[in-house]
Amino acid sequence: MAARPAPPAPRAARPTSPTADALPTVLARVDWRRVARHALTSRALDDAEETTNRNKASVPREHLVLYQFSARGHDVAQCVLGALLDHPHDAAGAYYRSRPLLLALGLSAEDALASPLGRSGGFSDGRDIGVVCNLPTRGGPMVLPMAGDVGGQYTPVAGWAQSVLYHRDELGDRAWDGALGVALGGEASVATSGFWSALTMATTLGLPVLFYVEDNGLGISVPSSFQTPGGNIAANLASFGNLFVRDGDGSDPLATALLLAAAVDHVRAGRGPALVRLTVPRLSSHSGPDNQKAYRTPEAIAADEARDPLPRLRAFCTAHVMDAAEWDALEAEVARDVGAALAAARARPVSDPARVTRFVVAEPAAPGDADAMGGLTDAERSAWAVPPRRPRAAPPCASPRPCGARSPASSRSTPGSSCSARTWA
Amino acid sequence: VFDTSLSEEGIVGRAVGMAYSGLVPVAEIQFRKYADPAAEQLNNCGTVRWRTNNRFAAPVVVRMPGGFGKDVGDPWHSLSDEVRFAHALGWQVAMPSDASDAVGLLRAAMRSPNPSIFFEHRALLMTSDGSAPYPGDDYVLPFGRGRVLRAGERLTIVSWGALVHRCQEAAATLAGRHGDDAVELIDLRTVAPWDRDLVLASVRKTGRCLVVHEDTRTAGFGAEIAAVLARDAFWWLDAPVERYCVEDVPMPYHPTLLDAVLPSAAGVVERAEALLRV
Repeated sequence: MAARPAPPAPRAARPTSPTADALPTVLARVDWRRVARHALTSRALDDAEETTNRNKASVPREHLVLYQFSARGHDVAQCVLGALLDHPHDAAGAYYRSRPLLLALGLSAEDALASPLGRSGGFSDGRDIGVVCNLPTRGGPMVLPMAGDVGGQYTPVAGWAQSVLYHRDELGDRAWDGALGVALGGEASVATSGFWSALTMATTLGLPVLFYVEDNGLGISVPSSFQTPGGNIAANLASFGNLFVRDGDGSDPLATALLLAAAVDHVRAGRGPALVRLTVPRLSSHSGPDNQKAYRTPEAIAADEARDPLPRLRAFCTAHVMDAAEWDALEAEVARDVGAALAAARARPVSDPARVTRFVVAEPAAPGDADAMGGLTDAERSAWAVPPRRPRAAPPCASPRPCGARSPASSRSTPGSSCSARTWA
Repeated sequence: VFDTSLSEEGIVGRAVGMAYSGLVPVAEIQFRKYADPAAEQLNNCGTVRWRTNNRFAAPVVVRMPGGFGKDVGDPWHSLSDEVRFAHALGWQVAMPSDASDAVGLLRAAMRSPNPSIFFEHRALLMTSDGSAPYPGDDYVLPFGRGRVLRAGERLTIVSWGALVHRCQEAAATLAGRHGDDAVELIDLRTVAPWDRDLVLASVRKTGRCLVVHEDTRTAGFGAEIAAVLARDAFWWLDAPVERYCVEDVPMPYHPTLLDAVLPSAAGVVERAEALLRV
C-alpha cells in the first residue's frame, strides 16, 4: 500500500479565539441541542454515581461503582466532538474518561450505568471495568474496544485510519472516503510509546487521524510538565511534519467547536492528521478512590470549578439556540431519563456465571450471541471452507483405579473429564 | 505488502485496528525478541473477544522468526519462548517444522476467527530441513492437529519446530538399534491448541514419553504436556515423563556454546534409550 505523504501542515500551534463571524457557521455545523442533551446526561450520570459512592455507608453494596471515573469538565468538549463524527466509517479510540463521547455516539444511559455496576449486557457483560468501553455501532461511528492501559488506544486508531485508505484506494470502496479515526487521550498519555508510535504512523503516511488530547493538568496527581516539556504537547509539536496542530480552551463551547471543526475538516479532506489539545478543568478526583485534596490546594480546585464548561454551555445555548425555559425543560427531561435508566440498570441481573468462560476464543454462535465486529464475516470465512477438525471425544478412564480421565478404548465423550482445553472454532 | 515505521507496538496495534475494519492483516516482526515492545497490544488483542463479550474480535496473524540459526545463536535473534504465547489467552500458536506445514497453517491462521502467532524457525528458513514440496493452493492445515512422523510401540517422542528434525535423526538411529517399531515420533505443529488426543493416545499405547523442545525447561510447554500425561495417561505410563530441552539459560552466540545448550540428536537417543530401559 502506498504511503500518502500529506501536504505541509501549519507550523505553529495557534490558539483560536472565538469570533462573532464564526458563530453562524458553528451554529449550522453543530447540533447544539444534542450537545446539550449529551453533556447534561453525562453530568447526571456522574452525579448519580458519585452521590451513590459518597453515601456508601447507607446504600446497598451492589449499587456502588468500584471504578468511578468522572468526565465532569471533559464532557462538553467531547459532546461537541461527537456531534462532528458523522461518517459511517468513523471510529474512535477511547480511554477511561470518554463516556460523554460514547453518549454522543449512541450509548444509552442504561448501558452507561449498568456497565460500571457490572451488570449483564453493556460493554462487557460484567467482565470488565465499567469505563473500559466499546461501541460496535453498525453503519455509524463506532468506538473501538478500549484497553485498560494508558496509551493502548492510539495505535489501533492509526490502524483503523490506514484501513480507511486501504478500503478506499486498494479495495476501491468509495464509501470510506472522508472517514477518520480519532484517538482520545489525556495529557499524560502523550508520554506513552503508543502515542508516539501512532503519531509517527499518522504523519509519515498521511493517515486520517485526529489526536484529541484533553489536558486537565494532572495525570492522577502528576502535573503535565512531567509528560511533555512545559506541559503543552501542542506547543511542542508545532514543528512536527505533516501535522495540523491546534490548541485551545475546551471549556469554551464556541472555541471548542471552531477548533474541532477545523481539525475534522482538515483530516476528512485528506490533508493528513491533526492534533487538538484542549485544556479542560478536572472537577473531580482522578477516580472514585482518589482524594485530590491530598495533592491539590483549595485554590487550585476552586480555580478549576470556575472553569466548569457546563454553565458556559448553558449560556451559549440560551443565547443562540434555545431559551432558558427550554434548557430547564431539557435538564428536567435528562434528570428523569437518567433516573429511569439508573433504576433499569440496577434491576438488571448479573450475568450468568456459567457464561464467563465463553468467548476466550471464537465459538459456534448460540442464540443471543453478538456478531463480533472484526476480521472476516462468517459468510466470508465460510466461503473458504476450512476443513472441520476431527472428532476429539474419548471415553472415561478404564483403569483399575478410576480417575475420571479418558481411556482410548471407545469413542464416547465424557462430560467433566480432565480435558479442559479451550474450545477452538 | 507495505513498509511500516520501526515500532513493534505500532505494527501490532495497527494490525488490530485494521482487523476491526474487516481486513485480515498479517503483521511481521523481524525476530521474536523484537515483539517485546508490542506486548501490550498482543495481550490486549488476545482478550478483546472475551472482554467485549464477543462484540469485537481482532483476528490478526503475527509472523515472527526465532530459534537457533545455522551455526549461530544469541539472546536477541534466537529466542524460542513459544510458551509465552501459549499462555496468552485468546491466541493460537503455530510452530511448523517444514514449508508444507507452514503453508497450510498460515492459510488456516488467516482464515481463523482467532488471532495467531505464526512462529518461523530460523533454522528452517532457506535450509534443506525446512524445505518441502508445495502442497497446493487449496491446502489448509487446521490448528491442533499433530502429525505422526514415525509410528512405534515403546516410546513416544513429542516435539515441534526445528527440533523435530533432530528427533527424526535420533529416531532413525533408535530404529537401527531397537527396531523400526520402537519409537513413535509426533510433530505437534501447533502448541495452542495442541493435539492432546493424539499425544494421549500415543502414550497410552507406548507407556513412555520424551518431550523435546527448544524453549527453556522451567514452565516450558513440555511441563504442560507432562502434567496432562501425568493425570490422563497415569495408568498407562511405564516410565516417568521426560523433558529434554534447553536448560534455564539464554541462547548463547558462539557455536560451541550454542551446541552446549541445544538438545541434540545424540542427546535424544541417550534419553530415549534410558527410558526404554525402564
